[in-house]
Amino acid sequence: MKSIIRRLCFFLILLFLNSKLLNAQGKVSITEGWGYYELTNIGVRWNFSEISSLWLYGGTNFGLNNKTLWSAGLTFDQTFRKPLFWKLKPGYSLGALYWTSNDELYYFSTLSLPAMVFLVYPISESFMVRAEGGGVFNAVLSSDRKQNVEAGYPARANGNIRLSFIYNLGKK
Amino acid sequence: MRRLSIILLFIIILSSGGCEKIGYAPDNPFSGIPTMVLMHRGNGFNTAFHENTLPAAEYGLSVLDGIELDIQLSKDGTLWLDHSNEVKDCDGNSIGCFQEMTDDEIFAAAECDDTLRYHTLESVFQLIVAEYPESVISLDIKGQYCEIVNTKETMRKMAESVLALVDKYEMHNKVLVESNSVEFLQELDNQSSVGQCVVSLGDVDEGLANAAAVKAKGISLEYGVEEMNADVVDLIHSKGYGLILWVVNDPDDIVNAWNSKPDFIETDNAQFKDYISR
Repeated sequence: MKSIIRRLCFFLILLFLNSKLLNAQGKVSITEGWGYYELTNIGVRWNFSEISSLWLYGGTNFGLNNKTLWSAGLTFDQTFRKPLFWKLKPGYSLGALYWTSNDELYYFSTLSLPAMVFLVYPISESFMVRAEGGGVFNAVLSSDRKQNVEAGYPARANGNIRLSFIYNLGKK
Repeated sequence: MRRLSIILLFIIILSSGGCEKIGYAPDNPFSGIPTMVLMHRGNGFNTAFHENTLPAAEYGLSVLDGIELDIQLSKDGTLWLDHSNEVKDCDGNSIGCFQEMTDDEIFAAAECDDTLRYHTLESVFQLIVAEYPESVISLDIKGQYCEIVNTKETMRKMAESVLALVDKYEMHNKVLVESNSVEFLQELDNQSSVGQCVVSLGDVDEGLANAAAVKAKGISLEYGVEEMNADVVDLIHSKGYGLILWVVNDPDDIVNAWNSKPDFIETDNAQFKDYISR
């Protein structure tokens, strides 16, 4: 897991260093936000068409509540062109998310498939806020029970929400 | 458009009501029962008998505390003994699926060299009631892979057939069923005469989560998937579930499994009790 996070950070740094080139093309956004499964996250979004993008992100809970959580995911999303009202545009996203949970009771590594709908609101030409809701389907990849008092298991299906702030590097 | 936006907002708000990412089983202590040992497929390693037949069952019942048998359902709703979902002729060629064949057709295919290859579960129940009233029987409910149409309905019918047979022979609390079919187990979730166990191909944690999801009374766990000891069995019991371990044959494994104190152990080894008495 540490190597995945290290690679993700390296990728983000590379993207940031190359942001001038990307700025010219107007195709990359930097994101930060919070999600129930995505945790406090940062990421990069490749807007490969006017309405479609791929989002790569990594997140953590910073070890709060005596539990260490990590997440890394890739999401495809599409935003409808026409605003519903008051500049709010709807959209949907589908993705894959790998997350781990480690505390005194268990270690779990889990693959999740989030399916979400969202509303995005442009605060300025280069800055947007996005609220999403939907569900995730979880499959446990590995687990380690560290005691024989409590028995737990990740929910196979669950609700998920996330809030993202998106800064588009290509807009001035 | 405004209606769509309201729907989207509603979905987003509703999603915030998700459950905990990791659900923990509540405490519901169950004291367990003295461990009973069941002969796997009736005959275990004894090749003098064909597995999952009435003679194999009689042998197993005479040696251990009970037997485990694999179960199939015919087109007529009769429960037959076999591991395979396919009915085979005397040369071993498939001639159809159990659930597509009538009892007469299965019976016609059953006789090979003056011995019956296929027997009904009812014949085993008759034997238990008449000669082994203290014995228990575990029914391994196999998936109906041979014919994939109406599989869910077939599994529900199997559950109904098992309950009907248990009632007919008053075998209450002497029959276990092992299955990973949600439909089969859900059909049994509001009764107390049969002990329904969910088959777990994963570890104890996955088994307990599956048991909670289908309201099973226990888990059927492959021995060796994770280290087994009395603490692990105590954990399972403390959450209110029983445990079947399968299939324990090696002498060291037999001693370890026995000392773990599960509720049931399935074995092919007729000398099982010799190892634990040493």
